[in-house]
Amino acid sequence: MSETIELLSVQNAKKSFRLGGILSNKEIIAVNEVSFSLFADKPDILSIIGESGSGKSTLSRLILRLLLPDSGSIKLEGTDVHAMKGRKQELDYMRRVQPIFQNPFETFNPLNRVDEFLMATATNYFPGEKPAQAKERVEKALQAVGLSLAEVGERYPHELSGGQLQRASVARAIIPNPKILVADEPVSMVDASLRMSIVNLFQELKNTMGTSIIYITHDLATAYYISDRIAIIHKGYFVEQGDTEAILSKPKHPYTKLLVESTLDPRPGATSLADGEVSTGDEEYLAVGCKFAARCPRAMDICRKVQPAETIVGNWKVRCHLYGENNAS
Amino acid sequence: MSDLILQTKGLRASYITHLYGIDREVKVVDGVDLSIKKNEFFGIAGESGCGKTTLLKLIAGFCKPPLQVQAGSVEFLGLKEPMSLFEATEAELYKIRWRNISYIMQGSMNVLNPVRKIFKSFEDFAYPHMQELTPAGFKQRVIEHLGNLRLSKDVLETYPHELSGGMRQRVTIGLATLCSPEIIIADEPTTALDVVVQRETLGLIKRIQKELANTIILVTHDLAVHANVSDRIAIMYAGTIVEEGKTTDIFDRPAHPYTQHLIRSLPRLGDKEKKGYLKGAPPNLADPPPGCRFHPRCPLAVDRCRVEVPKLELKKSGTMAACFLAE
Repeated sequence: MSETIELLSVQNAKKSFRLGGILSNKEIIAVNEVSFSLFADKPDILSIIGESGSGKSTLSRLILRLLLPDSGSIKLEGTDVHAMKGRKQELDYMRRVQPIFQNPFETFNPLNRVDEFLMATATNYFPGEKPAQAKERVEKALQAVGLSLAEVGERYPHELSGGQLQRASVARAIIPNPKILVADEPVSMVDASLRMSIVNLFQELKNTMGTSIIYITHDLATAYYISDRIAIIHKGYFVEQGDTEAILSKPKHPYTKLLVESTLDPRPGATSLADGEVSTGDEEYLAVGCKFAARCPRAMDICRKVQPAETIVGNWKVRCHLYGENNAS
Repeated sequence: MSDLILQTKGLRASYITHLYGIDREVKVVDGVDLSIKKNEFFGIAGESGCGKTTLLKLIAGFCKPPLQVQAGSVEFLGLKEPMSLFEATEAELYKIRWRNISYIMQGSMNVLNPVRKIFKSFEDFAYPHMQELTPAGFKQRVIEHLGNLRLSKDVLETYPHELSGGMRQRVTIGLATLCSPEIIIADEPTTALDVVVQRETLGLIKRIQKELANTIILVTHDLAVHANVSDRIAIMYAGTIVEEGKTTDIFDRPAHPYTQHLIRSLPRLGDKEKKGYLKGAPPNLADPPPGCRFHPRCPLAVDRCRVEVPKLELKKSGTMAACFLAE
């Protein structure tokens, strides 16, 4: 279709987990029919928005190749993840796709000095290099996040502030010059006054190093702020994906509408606080048809029976019967 | 001054430890004066480690080593006589707890006893404070109360793990409001919840406050929550209150540089403007900087800020701020 080279291509990826004991045959499909692509010549920040239990962390583990999909394919630069075998290819994958974790205090070993940890990372990814070269790589990575070896010094993780440590953990991730960074809730443990520094950093990395970033979060406000594209995940399905500004200003899927309405506006009294029934999403994973139908204000009969397919409506993809072929509106 | 329900004066408290011959003092609450009114939604905002949870403990009269109060007082004014919480005996405190001052904890699995059914938790927490009711009357009261919170009575016969996060949080709100206390202290009540449930829970807390016409002291780092529920807010930084005022005034015309920064850096849907951030990190409270505790990070700091501690004063903006530079 297009001339651009696919950096990461996820097609109909599916991952399920068995519930209960060995005799139970209940299954939860944590990631279902998920498709999206990142392109090598056009670095992107893609936000994946989901509530707890939506499958967003499973998806991040699939992208990091910590889990393999049950069906569908995940390809990095044309090679399927299933085809990669052995330590060398694994390392090669890790070099190109790097994670940033939620809690920087857990990223680093509390008993090791931060600079030693970073040096070890450099020698791991580039074995056979001289220490001086490794040091250069670490210094370069630290400078890219606004720190320096002198600043990090010979300090232990607890001697750095949360914001500094999260920067150091971003530095760790960019040491092997990855093409993709997968950040799973990277700012939820960082103090408010420092949060935007990490978020701004992602933008800088995208612009200066051409790194694509998959930003996984529940926070629509920061996603709106930094991302070019957005995907809303609900119970394993991408219900809506496309351009961030377009979707969040005019959401099509009822679930996205609910999320946008529920996001608190930080201006006094700007959000109406409804005190309605308690919404529980617990049973939704096992629902037949559209998983959101039970909570959806516009649910129709078909929604409770048939899972809607992903269709292109306007400029982006939506998975909802309201926009199906018979119901073009 | 009869419209006040709780007042702290010059409150100063530290965590003091003597470990392996090393004395350490962490000055975590330093000179806090608060006047909280009846029928008010009062918010306290601040980053992690700024002393907001310690302040809440002191307000609730919990003060056990290593936490020590060095100066100041907390007075509860909901009884006939003002009651000083630090001078009261343990028995007197027990009497007002839950009945007059109760607590909504951060919504998570660890609040409710995982091996007891919800009704047993109600019996454990609340029944000792409601001895005038018979066991059957107590149960009836609990069922009615939960109905008001839109929870069915079946919830009482479940274990905490069977409920969703939002339902569990409703149960803890139910526990805290059962005795219609004059003050409810809520420590990060919606932090662990998803956005949809967060909005519902805040709506519920707000409605309950209106119905009971009591005081809620809400502590959270999330200013977007304060913007939508609190009548007044106090902004804490490194153990001190740097600004206090009506929510609308604080958001529209923040006087303190720290508050200004916090409010300007809030991300919002529909706003792509580049947000700044503060250099540096909050100070180590074991060794706080002299003068204004914010001066090492303040973009406007002058020499005076480095030596003299600013007092909380009324500024032109209508808020109280502790800053020499704000007019």
